[in-house]
Amino acid sequence: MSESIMIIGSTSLLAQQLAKTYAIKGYHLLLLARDGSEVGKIGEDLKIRHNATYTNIACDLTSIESIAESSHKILEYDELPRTIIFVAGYIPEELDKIGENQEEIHKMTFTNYLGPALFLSYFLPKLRNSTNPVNIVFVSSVAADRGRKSNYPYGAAKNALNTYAQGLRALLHPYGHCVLTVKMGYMNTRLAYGKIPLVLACSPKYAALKISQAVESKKFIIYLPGFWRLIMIALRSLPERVFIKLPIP
Amino acid sequence: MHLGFVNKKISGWGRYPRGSTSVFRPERSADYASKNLPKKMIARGSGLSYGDGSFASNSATISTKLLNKILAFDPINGTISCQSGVTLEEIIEVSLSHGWFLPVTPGTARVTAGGCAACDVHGKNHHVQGIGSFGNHIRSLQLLLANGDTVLCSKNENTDIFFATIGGMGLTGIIMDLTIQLTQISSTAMCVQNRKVNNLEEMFSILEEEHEYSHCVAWLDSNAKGKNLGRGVVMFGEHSRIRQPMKWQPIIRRSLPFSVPSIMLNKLTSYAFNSAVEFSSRNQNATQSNLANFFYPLDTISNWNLLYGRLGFVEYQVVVPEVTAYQFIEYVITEMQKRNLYSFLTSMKRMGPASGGLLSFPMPGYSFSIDLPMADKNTISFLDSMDEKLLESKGRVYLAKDARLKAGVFNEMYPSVQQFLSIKKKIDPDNRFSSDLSVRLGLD
Repeated sequence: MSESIMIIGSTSLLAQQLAKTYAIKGYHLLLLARDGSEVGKIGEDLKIRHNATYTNIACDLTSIESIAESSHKILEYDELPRTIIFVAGYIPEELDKIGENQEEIHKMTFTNYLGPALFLSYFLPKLRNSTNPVNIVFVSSVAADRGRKSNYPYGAAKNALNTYAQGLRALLHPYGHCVLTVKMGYMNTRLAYGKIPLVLACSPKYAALKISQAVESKKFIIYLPGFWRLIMIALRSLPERVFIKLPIP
Repeated sequence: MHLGFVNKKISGWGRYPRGSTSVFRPERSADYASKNLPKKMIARGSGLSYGDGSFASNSATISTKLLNKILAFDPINGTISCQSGVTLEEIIEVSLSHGWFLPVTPGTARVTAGGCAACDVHGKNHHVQGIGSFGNHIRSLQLLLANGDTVLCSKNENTDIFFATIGGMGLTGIIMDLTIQLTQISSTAMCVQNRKVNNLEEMFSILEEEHEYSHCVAWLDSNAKGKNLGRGVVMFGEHSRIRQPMKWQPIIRRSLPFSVPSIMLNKLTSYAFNSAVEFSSRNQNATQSNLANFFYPLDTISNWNLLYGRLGFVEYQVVVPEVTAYQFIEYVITEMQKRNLYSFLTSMKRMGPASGGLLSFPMPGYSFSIDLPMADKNTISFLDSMDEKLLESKGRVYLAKDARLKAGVFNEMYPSVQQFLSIKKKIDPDNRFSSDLSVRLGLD
């Protein structure tokens, strides 16, 4: 198998752009998502336009069985993918009283944190024995940097993911593997479409380019768009007593 | 409205009229599930139809821009299946290196395949036997109906829905994907030739002639009077037959920084522009051009519509049967001059047989178009009076360009309206698919 990239959560606009970026570079695409027919369309499109090769693997990050099954399929290959990107994430459309919705809390925690952690648990033995360096990328959110009253269960799950990534980075560093955390601000996709002033958002195309560059240069943490780093530094530095009184949703 | 809807003021390419609408841009097929879609809506691709066909004021406009996957391409037989938001340029990008090109293309490659089907667009080769309009080359299409079902329709299957959808301005449902038969070419070069024409009579005799070029369009100097009336240039083009490896060079687009102040749109500038074109074009021996320059000359400026000022413009494109065409065109040009109206871009071409689309524009005869800025207050009343003459001449107005036609006149121009409405009533009883155009023309 030629060098490959694995994208978990392959149907989002960001995932599609990442797949395109790496397809053009000649990588074989391992596309994992819940909706296999949608992934098939994305893969065929890249095949027709860019001569991409792809494998379509069904994977539901909220199901322990599905995670085990799909990760074993990938472990059957001789080599680990060169780059593994977790794009999958979940935030409900309706955030009102989000802390009281058991189903949504379950789904958010699973998709944003538990799923990726379980998925990688199957890969760790092989990662520790691999001589080829592997890049692992977690697409997280600025919401993880400070809990806000409107989306704290989501922020908490992403925060757990970030802490997981920190530990994993330290664990895998001696083996030459690199872990990148991407803290996404707003992107010009459905979640933000029409709600967020466009100057605060970046396009999926831009985000995909920046992520691939950050992987190349072995960065640990990036913010997208970059100015979110400054916003979050400001927000994080506020004392809790002040922060909770701010009119931030 | 739930997540993903955004209220916007939008318009078509002519920037007249404008409407406030709620735009929804689905990101994946599942977003097109009936429960996720609004009660009333119209699909919009690139939004390059000129008037009000691509949006619905006070209800929803569904942007198909992210329905942009190419689903299959057969380089042996030249068929391509794509989702409706794929643009013609994207199709060419894939097909050209295998020797396939669009059999029919409008003057811009930025339009979507779905939009081309819904408007049943035509090119400079409509009159050529076996070519016709875009709809003639659609093998099949998948249509999302008002009840949430998707139906496959073609010339053999669900025929009535197919012919209501071709040229149906999106009023039968949302075209999800379509399969198009491409045509084989052996070179990206175009052989082109210009012939200067001194008056309308000469213009008609040249357009009637049989010649070796399959593509043909005429530009007219709308300011020429008297014995020069109808002078202009006929531009011919044909795919070169010299075999060469082919690759599409993406069109590099520049944009105008602001709209031209409407004070600039006057007799003087119109004369200057038309005379400059007249002066710079002359009888020419055959020369070489390329696909992009020949088919899509205006695509290099991404917003040339700003040339018509803040208020936008209306393009009046009509088709008139052969017997009445000369008289009608002469009448329009003379009337325009009498009323001091100046068309910056006046063009003409021959048209062949209709495609069968119930609301399709093309029919045998001559197509004629003028561009009038809305900055001139008389534009609308002038065009209304031209409609009367057009009805007399048994011609019709192109809906993809239209922004002002009246319902009564429209019904007389399009004899298959009732048949269209009875099919629409069957598949869309609650008028879930409705645009400003359909409301204006009484198609609801």
